[in-house]
Amino acid sequence: MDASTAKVVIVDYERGNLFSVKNACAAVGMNVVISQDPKEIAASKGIVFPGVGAFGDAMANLKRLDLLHVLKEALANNIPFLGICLGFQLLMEEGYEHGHHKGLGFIEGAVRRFDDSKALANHFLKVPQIGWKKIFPAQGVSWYNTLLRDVYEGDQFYFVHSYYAEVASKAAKLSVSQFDDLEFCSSIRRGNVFGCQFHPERSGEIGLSVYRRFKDLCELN
Amino acid sequence: MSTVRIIPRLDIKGPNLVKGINLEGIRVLGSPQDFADYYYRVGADELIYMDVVATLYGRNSLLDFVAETAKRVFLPITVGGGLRSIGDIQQILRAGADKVALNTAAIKQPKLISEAANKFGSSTVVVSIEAKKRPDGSYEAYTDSGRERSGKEAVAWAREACELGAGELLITSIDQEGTGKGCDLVLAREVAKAVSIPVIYSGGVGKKQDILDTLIEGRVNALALASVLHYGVLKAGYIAKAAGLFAFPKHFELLEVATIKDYLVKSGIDCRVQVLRN
Repeated sequence: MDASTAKVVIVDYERGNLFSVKNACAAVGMNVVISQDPKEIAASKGIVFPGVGAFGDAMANLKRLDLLHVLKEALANNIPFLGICLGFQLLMEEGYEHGHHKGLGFIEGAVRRFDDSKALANHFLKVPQIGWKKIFPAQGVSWYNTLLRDVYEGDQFYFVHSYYAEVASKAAKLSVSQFDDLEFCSSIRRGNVFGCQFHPERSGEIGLSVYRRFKDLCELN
Repeated sequence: MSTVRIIPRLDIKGPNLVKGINLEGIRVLGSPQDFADYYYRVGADELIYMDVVATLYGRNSLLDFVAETAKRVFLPITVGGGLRSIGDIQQILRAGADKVALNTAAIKQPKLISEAANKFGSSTVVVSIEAKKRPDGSYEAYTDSGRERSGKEAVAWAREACELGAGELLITSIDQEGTGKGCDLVLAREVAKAVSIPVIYSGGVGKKQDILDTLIEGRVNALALASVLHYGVLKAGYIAKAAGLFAFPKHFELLEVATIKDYLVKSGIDCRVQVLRN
């Protein structure tokens, strides 16, 4: 591995499948390791924070593995950060999945469940929502200087989720997508911190462009 | 509103992509790797690999194959066939799969569904139901690639699997599988109506219209397609034919992923359309 390449850590908090994320990082030439060591995470040039599963359970794991502090510190220090799916949702203040749980509190907002009450009448409204959805720039936002630089308005990404982030901070919203008549925030950005509900590592070549931009961001910092 | 998904289904035996009729009489079509790469390029929405024999030999080559594919196919990959324990699931996920399809083991030991959902997340667990019509019109779930009866009524089992924490169901009509003679819309609809989670249907597609019918009347969210896509690929010469390949059954429309997507969009169905740039 090229010694000049910034070392990026995929955080392993025992929630979800890290291998497809690792493959995507490797495909764009990122120097990446999977780790749950707070010291290694603190020393990294960039953090990829994936995850599937339940919100409260994930926060409990982060606490047990003593990772809450190092993650909050990295976020506060504007270290390049890519939160994916549950890893994106955990950036919020709170989540309502099986009870009420505190999140990392970096972005103002809460994680709520999709309404599946219409699923019996319309099977396209089943939950979890699984499939390729279009993403559009949030109101007044340009993707030019972000990880979505190579993405066109209306490009489709792969989503699988039952919960969505209701983001209170308008300035943090980067993209929006649609579930029935609900417009939800499908990605956020604040400084070098990026979070997306969709899975760029499972979204074909357009998804890889997000990893490529993230690699560039890590090397700049 | 979710987009529907078109999912090539690759039945695998040892090192080969195979295809049978009614889950029997399998024939070799070629290298699964070639087909996986091809389907990625042309805009498939996901891939499903089914190890149809699940022998120890088959398993090892399947693991290698999954690991190889996952390095260059950036789509959700579901792997099924012979997964019996949390350890088996972990191993296949570590090779690069995103989801596992559980059938035989889940029927014998339903709590494997909840254990796997708790450990790996619901969205990782697809319960695969291979169903055959009974004389009274109900459906029975079969195990071991359609060879063994389970005694379980398929729709009730679908409901139970959903309650145990499955994130998705893959329902295969054994009667229609590989025939190209149309889907079992009653089976699709009965299962789809019974559960709140998405359903993938597999078995019987011989023409475009079958896909549309299954999405609308069958009320499913996705189709897993094998013969109708594989034959199309081979016929068009995109992938070299395996030695001694049989003649294609004439009643099949030979379809490509892009043709299907065009047709669905024109029929008012929302699906992913791959955009190629540069």
